[in-house]
Amino acid sequence: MSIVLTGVSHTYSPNSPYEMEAIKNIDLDITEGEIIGLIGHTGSGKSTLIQHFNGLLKPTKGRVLVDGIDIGKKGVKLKDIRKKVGLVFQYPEHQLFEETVYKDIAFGPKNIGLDQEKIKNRVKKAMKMVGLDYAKYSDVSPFTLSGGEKRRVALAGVLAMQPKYLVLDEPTAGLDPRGRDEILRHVTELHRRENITIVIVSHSMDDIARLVDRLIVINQGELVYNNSTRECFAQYEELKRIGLDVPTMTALMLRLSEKGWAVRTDILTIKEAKEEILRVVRGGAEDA
Amino acid sequence: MLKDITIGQYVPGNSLIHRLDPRTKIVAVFLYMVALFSSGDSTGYLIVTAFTISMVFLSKVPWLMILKGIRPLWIILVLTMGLHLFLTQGDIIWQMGFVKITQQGLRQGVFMTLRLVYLVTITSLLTLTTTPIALTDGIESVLKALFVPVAHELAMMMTIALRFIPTLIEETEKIMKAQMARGADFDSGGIVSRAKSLIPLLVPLFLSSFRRADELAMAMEARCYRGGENRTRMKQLQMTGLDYMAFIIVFALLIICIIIRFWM
Amino acid sequence: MVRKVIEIKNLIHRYNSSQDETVIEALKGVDLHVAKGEFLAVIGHNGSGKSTLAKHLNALLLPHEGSVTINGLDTRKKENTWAIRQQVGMVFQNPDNQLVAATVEEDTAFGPENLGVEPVEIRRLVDDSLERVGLSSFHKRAPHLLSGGQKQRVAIAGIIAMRPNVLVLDEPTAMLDPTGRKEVMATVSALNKEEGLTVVHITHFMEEAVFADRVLVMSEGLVAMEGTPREIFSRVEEIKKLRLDVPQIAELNGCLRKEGLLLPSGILTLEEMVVALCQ
Repeated sequence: MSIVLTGVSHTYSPNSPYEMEAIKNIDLDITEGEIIGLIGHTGSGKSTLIQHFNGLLKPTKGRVLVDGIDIGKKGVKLKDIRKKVGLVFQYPEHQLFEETVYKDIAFGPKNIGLDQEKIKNRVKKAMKMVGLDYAKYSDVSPFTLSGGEKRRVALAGVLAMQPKYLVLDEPTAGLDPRGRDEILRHVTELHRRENITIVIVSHSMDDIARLVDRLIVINQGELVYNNSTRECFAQYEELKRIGLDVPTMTALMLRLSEKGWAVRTDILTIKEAKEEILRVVRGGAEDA
Repeated sequence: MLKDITIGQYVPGNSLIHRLDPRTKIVAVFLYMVALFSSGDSTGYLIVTAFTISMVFLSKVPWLMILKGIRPLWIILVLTMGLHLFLTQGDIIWQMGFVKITQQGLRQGVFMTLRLVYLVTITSLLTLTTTPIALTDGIESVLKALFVPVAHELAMMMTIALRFIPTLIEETEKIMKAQMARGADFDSGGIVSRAKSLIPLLVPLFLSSFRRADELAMAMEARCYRGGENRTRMKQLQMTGLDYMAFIIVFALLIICIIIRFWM
Repeated sequence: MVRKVIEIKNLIHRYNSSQDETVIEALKGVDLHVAKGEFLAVIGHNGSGKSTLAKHLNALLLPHEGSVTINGLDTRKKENTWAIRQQVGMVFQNPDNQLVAATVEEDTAFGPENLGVEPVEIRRLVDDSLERVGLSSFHKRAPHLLSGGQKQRVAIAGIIAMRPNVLVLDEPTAMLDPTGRKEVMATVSALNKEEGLTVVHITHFMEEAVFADRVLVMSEGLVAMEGTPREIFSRVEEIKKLRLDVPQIAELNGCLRKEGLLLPSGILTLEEMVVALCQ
């Protein structure tokens, strides 16, 4: 099953002086089991796009199918779509409102009408997935927690809906390196262990480089790239033209290759870069 | 949705009314009110009506905008008209069963309704032709001149409100969407369940407002804010010939209305 | 002799925990000197005390023990408070929560207005400050219509309009996108290099600390490491132990040196790495 967008456009305030076409004619497939990165400038249409995945916005043109269900059709139960597609907004800790961590995470399951026992199981499971100890945290007020912990509670709140697809809008924004690493570790685990399909929006090319298999690049509302991460970053000139960076290691390899080094330029991580440099340096030494 | 709400709907322009000093406009509105309330007969109302219409013309604000301002009041207007029309004792001019309309009732009804309409017209004219910022400065300055002790604080509150209303509207939409993504429903159910469904929206909104207030207070203190004392302003309000003219005209209106009311 | 703008001696700051009655020491005896015109970067993870330290620099917080002196003015003396706040300007993390007025120029005027500067002079300061942060054409714009980076630059303009000696930035780029981050860093670094403004920049983006004259690493309320960016970021293991980042190039350098490649220590930027490798 998958999320399929065909020719999706979205225009805000149509037929008014403020009319603005935020995304234009987007074709996109998100297949179950993938981990995908979504990059683009602020204002490129990323937020508009991801809100189509769970029916918070409906296309003004085109069609969105979630596991075969057309979200634009009359009579479609959007709650069912939102059970399938979890959306974690930027700074999700700002949506916390209950007195205890348990109650806040239980909000979603309660909305879809589960009984107490099921809710409890889901809360427990969701907390485990984000590494929050049930006994220690469930009765604590979420507002006494640290920033990174709050964010994990908010993430658990979405996970308790048990979505098949999880869309995260800049999940590491504003966190320190420790908090960032923790969140990213949990996201990778959700993908690997729970087999949740992940779409992650990020500004950090270095994070993207080591996380995702496929990359979607969007610029001024249009889909520019939709390809494997390596191949996308190989289009560094085009990325630069639309004002996006490439991962530091890719940039380094590009510079070295300009200087006449025979290095591969589709390098993404420090480990790969190290091996590639050593290969060339040592190989070169053998030749000499 | 929420973005359609515009606060202090200012209509940009460069008419005579737009160019008046905000203080002039505020004081003029008060003088006009006194004139309006002291008018009690057809001559008085004729003069006030002529004045009101010419002000709207001078401002070049579209009539539609003024009507929009009056529209929400229609229930009150109908009630005012109805109560005076049917409940005033006097010379009967029309009767059906126990329902009767008197000459005095008709007169009172029309006058009272007009009074309300004019009141709204002229105050909306004030906000339609003055930027919220100029209005705040004007109010601060007028209150200070009247020795109101908290003039500066009130003005500061208005300034901050103006600054933060768009930010809070954006935030409301964001939280709403985040809760909807967790299956929250804001549009269905009875009154009680709808009110209850607002809790997940209002609690985060309040908390974030408190956080904002806290951080803003800190930032203001760091920028040497310590109340209105010894504070200067970059923009100095400047009265021009136009303002003095305006004062003369409004005073003339007031005096004429009073003379008609008490001596004629 | 270099003039010290900021002198901190054995600074201790305590606060009450929100959960129980325990007293937590946010700063446990910090000593710090900042010279005039210096660009100091302070790094450390959340809760390391770096924000608390920042708030001591303009008397938003006062020492429980030890002392903070700004250009010879002791923050503990009440009569110094306003002089200190005029001299030390602060830019905070959230761009939305530090702009006061409904237009850019009115906001920039806020500080000078508080100081009681003459209206004509305020106008001059405002125009000049907006020019220096490159936002002159935005002067009538409402803050909520600006990008995050622009909002932070307005905040900086509002500070430099008060003619401060020191600019303290408390994670000003944490909530910005890469474009906004570059804008803010370019503005700050121009003010430091071209106008000699002393800068204390608190951040957890290591790439931003690379361009500082000196880096201070805070941990558990104490100064854990101190030195030039080259010295600090060549100590990859120690930094990682504090669960902080090392710039990627510095980390790669560490890996390559471990493998026996003859590279100099302290390589921080991509260009330096290319030059070193090509030798």
